Amino acid sequence: MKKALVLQLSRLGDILQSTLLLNSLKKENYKIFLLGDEKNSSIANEIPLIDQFIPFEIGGFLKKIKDKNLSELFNELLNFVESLNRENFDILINLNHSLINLYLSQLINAEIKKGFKIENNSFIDFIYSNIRNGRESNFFNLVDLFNCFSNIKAKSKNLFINKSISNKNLNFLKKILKKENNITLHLGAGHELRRWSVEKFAKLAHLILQYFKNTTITLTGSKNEAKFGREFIKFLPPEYKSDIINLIGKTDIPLLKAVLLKSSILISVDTGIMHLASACGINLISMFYASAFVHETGPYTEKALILSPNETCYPCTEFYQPCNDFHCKDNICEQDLFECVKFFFNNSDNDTLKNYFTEHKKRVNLYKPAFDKFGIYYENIIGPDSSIKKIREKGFKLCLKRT
Amino acid sequence: MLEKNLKNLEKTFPELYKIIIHTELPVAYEKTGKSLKFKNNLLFSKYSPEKEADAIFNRILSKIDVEELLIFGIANPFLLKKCISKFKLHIFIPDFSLFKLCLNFFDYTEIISNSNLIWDLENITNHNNIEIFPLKVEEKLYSDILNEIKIRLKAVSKISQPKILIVKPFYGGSLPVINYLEMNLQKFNVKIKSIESDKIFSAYQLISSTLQKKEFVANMRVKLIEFVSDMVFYAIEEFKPDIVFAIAQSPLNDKILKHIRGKNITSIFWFVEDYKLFTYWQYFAPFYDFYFVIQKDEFFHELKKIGVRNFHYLPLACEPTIHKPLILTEEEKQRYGSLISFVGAGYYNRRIFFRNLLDFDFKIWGSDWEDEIILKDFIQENGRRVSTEETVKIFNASFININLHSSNFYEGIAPDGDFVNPRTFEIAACNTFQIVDRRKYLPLHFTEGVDILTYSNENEMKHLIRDISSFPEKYVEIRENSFKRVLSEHTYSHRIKEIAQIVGFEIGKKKENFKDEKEFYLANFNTLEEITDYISKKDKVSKTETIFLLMQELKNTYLK
Repeated sequence: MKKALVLQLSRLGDILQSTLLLNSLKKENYKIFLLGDEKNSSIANEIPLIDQFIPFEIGGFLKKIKDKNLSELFNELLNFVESLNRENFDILINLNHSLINLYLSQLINAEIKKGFKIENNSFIDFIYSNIRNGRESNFFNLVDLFNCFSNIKAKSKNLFINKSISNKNLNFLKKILKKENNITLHLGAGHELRRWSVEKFAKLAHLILQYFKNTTITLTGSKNEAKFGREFIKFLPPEYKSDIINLIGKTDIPLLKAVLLKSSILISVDTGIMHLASACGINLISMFYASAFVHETGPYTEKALILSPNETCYPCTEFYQPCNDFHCKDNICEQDLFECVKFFFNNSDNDTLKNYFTEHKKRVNLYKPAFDKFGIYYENIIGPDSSIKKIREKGFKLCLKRT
Repeated sequence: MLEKNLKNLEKTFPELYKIIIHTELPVAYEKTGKSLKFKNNLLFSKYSPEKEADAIFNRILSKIDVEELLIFGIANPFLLKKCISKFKLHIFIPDFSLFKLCLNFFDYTEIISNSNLIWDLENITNHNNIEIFPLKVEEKLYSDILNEIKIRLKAVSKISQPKILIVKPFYGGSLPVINYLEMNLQKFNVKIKSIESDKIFSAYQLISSTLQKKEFVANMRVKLIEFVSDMVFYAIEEFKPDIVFAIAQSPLNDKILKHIRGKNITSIFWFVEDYKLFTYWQYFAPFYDFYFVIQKDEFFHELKKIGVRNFHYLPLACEPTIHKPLILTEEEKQRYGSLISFVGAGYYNRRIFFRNLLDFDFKIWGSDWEDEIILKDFIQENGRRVSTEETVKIFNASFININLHSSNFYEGIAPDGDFVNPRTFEIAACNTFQIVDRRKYLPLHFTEGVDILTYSNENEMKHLIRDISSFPEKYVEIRENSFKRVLSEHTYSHRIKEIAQIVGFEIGKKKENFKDEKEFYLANFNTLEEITDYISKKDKVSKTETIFLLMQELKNTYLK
C-alpha cells in the first residue's frame, strides 16, 4: 500500500476541510498519515480516513525553547523527522503556508512532494497573493484547492466524519433533546471582534421558539465562551428558558458531533464547528463577514445558506481592515437568519426567501452553495454573478493543466 | 654530570642543547654543602635541599589548583623533580649560564625528560589555566623577565567568542591584508564589525587635490583621522567589542587609543611596513596591547626602548581563495603572459636593477613608473594600477615571476633587507615559478633550493631565468614545494590562528572540525537567533540548518 503524509497543522476546521482530499487519497489506495497539532488529535480520531494521526507536540517543543534547552529540542525534532522518514512516504502534501510546514516538508522525505511553498506553482502563488492582498477575485473554496494543489481529483462532494454516536452520548442526548426539532446556535468566533452579538442571537432564539413550538435550542461553545451562554439567557424572556440547552464548555468532540448530528440546523459564523456540521450533513445558516470570505472557506455542503454584508470593503483581510470593529457584522440582523430558518423548515419557499433578501440587498447578501465540475461555488440568491463561474473555470483549468 | 645532562638535552631539546654547549660557565659561583652560590645567592638549602623542596612543594600544593605549572627558574632540581610528579610542568630558563652551572653539578635527567623547557619569551603563549611559580634566586636576579612573563600570561587568559572591531586604512598595501584577515575571521565565525575607512578614500584624495600647502593638507588629514576615530568611539558604544584590530595606516588617533585602553578593550596593531621607512610607530606603538611586526632584531630593540612589551613577529602571507592557480583564456594568456614579469611599483632599486633584463621577454606591471625611460617599452598599459584579480592573472600567465623587494636607497638588492613581502607568498600560492631576492627572514619561511629560488645579484638572477626557461623540469619540484608550503604554513588563516594564540582569544572552530553540524552551531553561537541569522544568509541550507530554522519559526509563531 502506498503511503501519503498530509501536513495540516492548522485548526479543527482546516482538518475537516482536508477530508475531501483525504478521501481522494484513500480512493487511490493510500495509507494516510496526517501530521497535525497535538491539540487536534480528538478530531482526527473522528475521521476514519486517517490511518495514523501524527501529533506535532508543539507544547513540549516550546517548553524546551523557553528552557533554552536547544540541544535537546534539536535532538527531539531530529528524532521526530527521522522516525517519519523511516515510513518512506510515497507522497507528502503540505496544506499550510507557514514556514513551519515548509521546513517540515523539506526535512521529511517523500517520493513526491506537493502543496504550499514546496513547488514553484503560479496558481498557488496567485491564490495566496489574493488571500493576502485582496480577496474579491478568489472564488476557489479551500477544500477544492487542497485537491487542486495536490493534483488529485476530488472523488466526492462532502467532507468526512464518522457519523456514529456512542451509546453514552446517545443516552445523554435522549434525555435532553425531548422536542421534535433541535437547532444549535454557536455563539463564539475565532476572534472576539468577529463574534456576532449575543443579544441578537437571543432575539433570533426568541423568534424561533415563538414560531416553531416543538423546538429546542442548544448552545455550544468552548469553556472560555461560557459567559456568552449566561448572557444569552439574560436576554431571553423567562418563559423560553426551559427550551434552551446550554452545553457551552461541556462538550468534547464526540459529544459536539453527536449534538450536531441530532440538530436540524447549525447557526454560526465561520468557525470549525461549521465545518464539523457540514461534515455531519446537517443544514447550516452561516454568517460570513469581515475577513471571512464565503467563496474561500464557505461550508462545503449544498445544505447551507450563507449571509454576508453588502459592503464595498468586504471582504477585508487578516492583515488589513479599514475599520477596527468589524462593524459589517451589524449588517446582518436576527430577522435575516430567521428567514433562513423558515426556509429550512419548509415554511417558506425560494421565492419568499429571494423576495426578502432582494428587499434588503443594500445591506446583506444571501448565498446558496452549488457544485460545478470543479467543486463548490456560492451563488448569490438574488442573481448569480456570471463572472464568478468564468474566473473559477479559468483558474481551475490553469491549475489542472499541470496534471 | 654535565656530559650526561647534555646528552639528554640533545635528545629532547636539540635547539637548547646547541645554545648551552656554546654557553660559558659562570665565573661567580661557589659550591657550598649540597648547594651552590651564584652571584652570592644560595640556590637552595646547603644542608637538606630535599626537605626544603618538600616544604616548598607543599606550599605550592596548598596555593595552586591547576594541572599546569610554569616554574620560573631552573636552579632547584630538588623542587623541580617534586613538581613533575604532580603537574604538567613548564620551566622557563632565564639564564643559560646558570642552567649550565646546574647541569654541571646536578642530575637533570628526569627533569629534561618530563618537562617542557622554555627559554624564549615568544613561546609564552596559549597557556590558559596555568599558574606561575618563581624560584627565589631567579626571581631576585631576573625580575624584569619574570614581570614580562606575568604580563604575557595575563594577556593570554582567553577571551571566548570575542567581538572584534576592525579599523581599515583609507588605502594602500595594508588594505588588502586587513581584508584578508577579515575574511578569515569570518570563516572562523568571529563576530566582526569593520570601520571601512577605505569607503571615504575619495575624501582623503579630495584634500590633496584641493589644497596645495602641506600644512593645510596635514591639518585636514588630521580631521579625517579624527572623523574615523570618532566613528570608532561610537562603534565601541554600539558593538561593544572585546578587541580593536588595526593595521598599518589605520586612521586612529591617540585620543581614541587612550579611550580603548580605558575601556579595557584589547587593542591589536599589525605594522606591515618597514619600520625604518615609516616611523609613526615610535609614537603610536605604546598605545597598543599587542603589536605585530614583520621585522625583528633591531626593531625589537627599538620597541623595547620605547616601552613596548607585547610585540611579536608576524610575517605576511597569502590568501588561497584569491591567490591561486588559474586556468586562463587564450586572450588572458596573450595579454598578461611573458617569459618573465614583475608586478609592483617603480621604486628606485627596481628601475636600476631591471635594466639587466632588457634582453628578455619581460613585462613590468604596476604604477609609479613615471618618467622611466630605459624600461619604458617594458612597462605595460601605461603603468596603470593593476587590481588584485589581474595581479593573480599575471602571476599565472608569466613563466617566471621576478620578485624584488623595494628600496629607495640601493641600486639593486638591499643588502640589509630583512622582511619578506606579501608577493613572495602570493606568487608561491599561484604555483608558478618565482625568483626572489635573498632576504634575512626568508629562511624562516622557506628553504632555499627546496621550496624557494633566490638570487643575490643580477648574474644569479639572469642565470636562474635562463636555466628555468631552458630546463623547467629541474625546478618543478621546488615550485610545487613552495606551493605546498605556503598553503600549509603561510596563509592569512594561519596568521589569524597565530594572532589568536598570542592575544589569547578563541576563534570558532571551522565546521569540519566538529563531529557534527549541530555541535558546531551550538558551540559557536549564543542564541537561536544568532544561529538562524547566520543560516539565513546562506544560499543553501542543510538538514541540520533546516531544523534550527524550524526551531526559530516555532518560537516566532507560538512565543511572540
